[in-house]
Amino acid sequence: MKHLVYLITGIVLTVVFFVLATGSAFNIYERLYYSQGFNDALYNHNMYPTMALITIAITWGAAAIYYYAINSVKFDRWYHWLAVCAIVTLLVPIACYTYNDAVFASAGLGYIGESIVFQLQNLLWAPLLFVIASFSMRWWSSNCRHTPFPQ
Amino acid sequence: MRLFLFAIGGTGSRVLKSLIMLSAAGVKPLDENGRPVSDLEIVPVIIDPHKSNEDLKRTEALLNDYRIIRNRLYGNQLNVDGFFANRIVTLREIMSNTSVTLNDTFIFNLAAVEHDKFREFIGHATMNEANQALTSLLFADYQLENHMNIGFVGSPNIGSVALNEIKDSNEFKAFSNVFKQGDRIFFISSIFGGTGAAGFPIMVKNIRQAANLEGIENRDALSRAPIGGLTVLPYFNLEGSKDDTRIATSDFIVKTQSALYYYKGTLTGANDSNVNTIFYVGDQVRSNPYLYDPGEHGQRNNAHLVELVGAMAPLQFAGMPLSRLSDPDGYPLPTTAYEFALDKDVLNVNFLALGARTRQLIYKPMVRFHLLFLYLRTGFRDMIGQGFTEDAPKIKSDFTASQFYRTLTDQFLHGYTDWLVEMYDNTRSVGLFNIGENDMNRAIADVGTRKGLLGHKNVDNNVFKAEMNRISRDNPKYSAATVEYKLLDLFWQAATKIIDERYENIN
Amino acid sequence: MRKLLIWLVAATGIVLTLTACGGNPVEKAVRDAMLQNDTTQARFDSIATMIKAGKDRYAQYLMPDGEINYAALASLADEVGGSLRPPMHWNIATYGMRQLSLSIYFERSGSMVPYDTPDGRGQLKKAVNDLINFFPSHDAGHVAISIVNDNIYPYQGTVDSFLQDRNIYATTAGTGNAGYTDFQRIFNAILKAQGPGNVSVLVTDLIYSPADTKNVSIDKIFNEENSLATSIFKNYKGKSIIVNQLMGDYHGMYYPYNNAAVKYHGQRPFYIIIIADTKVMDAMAASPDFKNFMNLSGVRNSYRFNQGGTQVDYAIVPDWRDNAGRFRVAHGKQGTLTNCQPDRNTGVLCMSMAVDLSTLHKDEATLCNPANYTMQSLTGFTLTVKPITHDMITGNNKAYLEGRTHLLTFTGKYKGPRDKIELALRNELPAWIAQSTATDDTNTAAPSFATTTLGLKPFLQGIYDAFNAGGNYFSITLNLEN
Repeated sequence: MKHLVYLITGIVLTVVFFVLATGSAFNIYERLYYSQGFNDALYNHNMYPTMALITIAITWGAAAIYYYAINSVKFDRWYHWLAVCAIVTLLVPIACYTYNDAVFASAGLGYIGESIVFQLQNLLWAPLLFVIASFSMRWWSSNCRHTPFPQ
Repeated sequence: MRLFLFAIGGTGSRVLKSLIMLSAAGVKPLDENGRPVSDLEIVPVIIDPHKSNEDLKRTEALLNDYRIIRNRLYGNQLNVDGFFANRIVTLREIMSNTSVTLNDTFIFNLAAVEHDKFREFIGHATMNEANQALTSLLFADYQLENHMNIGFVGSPNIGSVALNEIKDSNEFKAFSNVFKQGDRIFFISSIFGGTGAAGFPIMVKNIRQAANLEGIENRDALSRAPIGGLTVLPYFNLEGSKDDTRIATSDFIVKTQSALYYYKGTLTGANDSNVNTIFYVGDQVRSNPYLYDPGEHGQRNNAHLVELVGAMAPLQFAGMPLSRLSDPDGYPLPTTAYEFALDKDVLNVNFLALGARTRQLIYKPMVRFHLLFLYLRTGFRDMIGQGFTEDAPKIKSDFTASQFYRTLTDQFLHGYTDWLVEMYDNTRSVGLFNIGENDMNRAIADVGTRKGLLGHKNVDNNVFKAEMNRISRDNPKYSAATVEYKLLDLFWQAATKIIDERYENIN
Repeated sequence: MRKLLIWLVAATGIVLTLTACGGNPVEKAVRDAMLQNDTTQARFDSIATMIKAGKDRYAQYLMPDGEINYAALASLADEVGGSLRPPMHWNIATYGMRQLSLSIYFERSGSMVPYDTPDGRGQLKKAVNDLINFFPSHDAGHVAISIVNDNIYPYQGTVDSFLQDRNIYATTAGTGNAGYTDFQRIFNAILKAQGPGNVSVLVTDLIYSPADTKNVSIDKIFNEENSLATSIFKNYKGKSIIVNQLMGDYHGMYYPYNNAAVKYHGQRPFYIIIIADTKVMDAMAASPDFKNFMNLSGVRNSYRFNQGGTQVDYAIVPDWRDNAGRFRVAHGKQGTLTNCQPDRNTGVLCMSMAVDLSTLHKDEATLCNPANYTMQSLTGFTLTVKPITHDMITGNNKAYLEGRTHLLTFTGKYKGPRDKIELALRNELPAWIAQSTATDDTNTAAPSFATTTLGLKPFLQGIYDAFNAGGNYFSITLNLEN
């Protein structure tokens, strides 16, 4: 039951992240970085929801892979988890940047500098969501449910 | 059902040791339908005047360790499934009243051994002349000078006199108190020595004639009790002083023949119902020579296949249907005799050399136990703080300093390796496992792992860890259990699955 | 239980994915069109095709008869455009306008004939031909031509014959009495005859020439003219009137007020007056299809009567070379700038706003003259207005400048913590009307003769008064916050 509460809380937090990341009046991405033209372009081309989704997909996907696909007794220590977290933390900004860049390119916009600085915040969101995902789904993993630290 | 198991003499202790090992591995007596006998308690009573006998001491130590471990695992529970499943108790432990004073030990306290010499025990000095002459006719001088606390050194004639006192002992009274209808009695003794050869018939006689004894309860139940016996025929050689001929290999056959004749007349004859079931086990291939020791320095003989085989006899006896032991009116049936044979008459015995029924009984439990031994030795400590150890109840690092863990690993498993090594070093050599091999894939002699898609399937500590992790996850069974139970039960279940899935099937 | 949990996670993922990537394809198409500044009829047609191809899926955008539900699409466009940064507008409703009809009222008074003589350049005829040609449904039998002077008379030929006629006055000679023009009768008739979806155009020199003006003072005539205009148009408050002033060659006799005819050879102004229901006028103003019709070439001056306040599309341009200090557009609250900070060195806050003023149909001079605007603010912001030219547009400011016509720049020493800029373009009778008005047309040699019309202002003032005009063409309020 406790674990179910964790899962539901994790899902709720993730949905809240998604909602706040896609909002217009209040947008957590824009709270951390704002350059009007650039952010308006992100907003207009509907990139916030997609970026949020990429972030959620990679973090939850990586957690699912770690806890259920790899699910190995040889990869069940906190530092293994941390390694996955580190990969996710790098992968999310790269994926989001690539996506942004592709959309900007097709729209004839040029925001390379802003895009790079903007993606720095995913160094925060990615590990945060990975932690949320980990604590949401780890409980049912046969080998890694006590990773990163036992509970 | 209680199985009172009288282990008489050095051989009795050694067979009992093998039974302890089988019990630790989880081997349980099975009824004719293959189901474990329910509500079984084994009450071993070691009868050996030779208290400094090393074999006795080792067996007693293992019994005590077994008790500690089992208590921690299951408490007073009966009918459990797992390692150390058979409940083994002392007489003291099952006594309902305390009118009889008894030590909480597995060893029968023989009053006779309080005396210094046999001569003094029989009151030779106070006998009249005629009696003294008769005594001289029955006993040689060296026998009269025999020190009682070293046993009867191959002299059944001393034993038969000394052990006759048993019926008056507190232990016997206590035994008669707790014995109930439905319980069974089993004797383990050698036929070629002193203590066992004499003790078995005396004990049977006293039980069957319990009606005549004073101060004994449950007389009827005792006199009708199903009684089984394991008579160990010669299987070892002795080496030692040529000057001291009190125990000699060459005498073994003669003594055995004499005793068998005697048994036939009094215990196991075709129409004799004193002993309902008799198991004979021995080996024409003689063991490595045992150091000749008439008792002074402590008899310490290497474990042997015969003892392992012998240990299965009380289990089989316990599982026999009552109809083969008693008639419909509850009176004991005449003797049925059993023998044991290997499937292959080889000097190096492994599981494959055993017959199918024996393999069926002991292969999986012993492999499981051996894997537990390897796991605890090579893998477990490193896993503390990970995986299943973190599920409630948590197994923390201080667990390895607990009495349970130390008793299990430092003492019991130590005794287990000694036992394995001794059987391996003996003739016939029993190499069920590759001793010293820590690789689980190669641990079982001549039994490898199954072939998978990518070569042979692997078995190692991590495979166990993964399986135990899986079983432990959200398992309500352990929420209120002790860590000791959790660890061993998890391993038991994991091993059961892994053996089935990953090792070649030889059953 | 485990399956349930997997479903829970998967369902959440699907919902999020659909929210992010899915959505209504029509909405996406509209959004894309706006983001690409391709809010054209062609683009709309492609969306309409898509909707019609998926009848079941897009039923909400279709009428029961299977035709496009323009109102639904327009509200979708408003919703999508409103959610964009900056908000955008696509006047989809105009595509759904019923096919308009055009009624040309071609004045054939004596003073009109010289505008179309074989030796002149024929600007008047060309302008009328353009009007007909640029009217979207001109070839579908929706154009009617009448000849007016003392009354309204149907043109006897076809539209094509009209267009091809090289001497229209000769062809229509003898129609009605060319001696005078009865504005009261004409305007009343036009306004009365105008049905829904009709656009009426009167081609005239707008010289009020009632019969028998001998010995009548010019002021009296002017007053009469003024009252006449007011009395006619006050009954048609739902109409809008655009007065376009054009210049044409005038070779022939001119009939001054209260004087003998004189021969004049030079340029004279003439007027194309477009009358339609205000809604129709608004729609035409917003419709790309009517762009040429509404922005007739050769128009020198123009003024639309009864033009209500319009919601103009605007966007603060975040990155502009003139910007100074800092500010941030509050999303979801258009017209609010937060985080306003003046430049640290100069104390000046300067921000630029791109505005689409094309729908106002005002001339550049009017739009670019800050004096035509009223602006109030605590800071005392000043305004400059300049047209947006193509070279101003770069990739990153495209979203703000493209599709908008003017850049309004506000400059002031903002001290905070908050301010409110209230900007409005006043709706006044433009200066050109007075400048184009003559009170005496007897001297054809006077320099102003070629560019003035007798009694223009009194008449137009009369119309202006009829609609009780005033107010603003548009107004924008900007709230500034620190």
